[in-house]
Amino acid sequence: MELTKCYHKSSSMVARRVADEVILVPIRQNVGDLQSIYTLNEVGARIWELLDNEGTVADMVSAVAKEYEVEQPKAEADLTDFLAQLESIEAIALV
Amino acid sequence: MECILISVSDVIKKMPISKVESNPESDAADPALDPVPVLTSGSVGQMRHSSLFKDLAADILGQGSYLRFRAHGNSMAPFIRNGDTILVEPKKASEMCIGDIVFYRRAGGRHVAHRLIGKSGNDGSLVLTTRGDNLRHLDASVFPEQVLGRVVRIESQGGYLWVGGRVGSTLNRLLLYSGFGGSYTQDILRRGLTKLWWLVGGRFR
Repeated sequence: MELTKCYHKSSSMVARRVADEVILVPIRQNVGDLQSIYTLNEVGARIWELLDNEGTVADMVSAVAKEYEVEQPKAEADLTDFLAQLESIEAIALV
Repeated sequence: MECILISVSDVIKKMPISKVESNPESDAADPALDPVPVLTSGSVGQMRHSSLFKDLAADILGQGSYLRFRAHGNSMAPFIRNGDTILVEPKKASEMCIGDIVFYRRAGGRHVAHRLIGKSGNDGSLVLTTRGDNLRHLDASVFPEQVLGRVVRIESQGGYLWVGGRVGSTLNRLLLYSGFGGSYTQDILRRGLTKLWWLVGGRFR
């Protein structure tokens, strides 16, 4: 995944924060199905927040590495994998 | 037991797409502390009085989308049974017809889907009267701001019933009138009509 890419949140996903986590409900064929939801853990929820900044993947990697005190390569690997998952469920899309 | 009180609370977490990986170089590493973003899929559990369910229902229906979830309770049995999945269409109180199953939020926060048996007042002072098919008493008055939508589809035991069209509205009324009074005979009639409706109008996989 190129670090210069930018993602935005999909409008077909309803998100709600619950404590440290974020619940995502996909709207498919105009139906929000509570039997088919996704949950982001604390770190995932933070990345979901970072997506609001409309920065590049590199910006998010830097933020995650700094906030969670992990090495840049690990942060990059985890984050790109996570973004790919979000993209696969159509929660985000490339700008 | 109240019907269709749904809520959300315990999200069933399963099938983690991304698992926390242990660090082979450090046996002491605690995977639970490893800051890895994780996405999990699951469904919303049932719990009454959930603010999350309230928020999600309001968000989804408020943007004009349908809401699908598992109903809880027997107050609408046998038409909607405990564990059936229902589909709610966003609809205003003023657009509801007698016999429709209104999905609304009570003052205490509970969400209920009960049958509309009466409307009074005009647009400015509309009041709805609802009751569960399986209950003898009426619900407290329902005001337009409490209404979120109406039930248009019921999924049960591998099949589904569409109640959103004209035929559905007519049959909804039949069910309503058959159940008025709550006598034993009327109860039998209502249950018979429900079975007949499922036989005629139900779609089975």
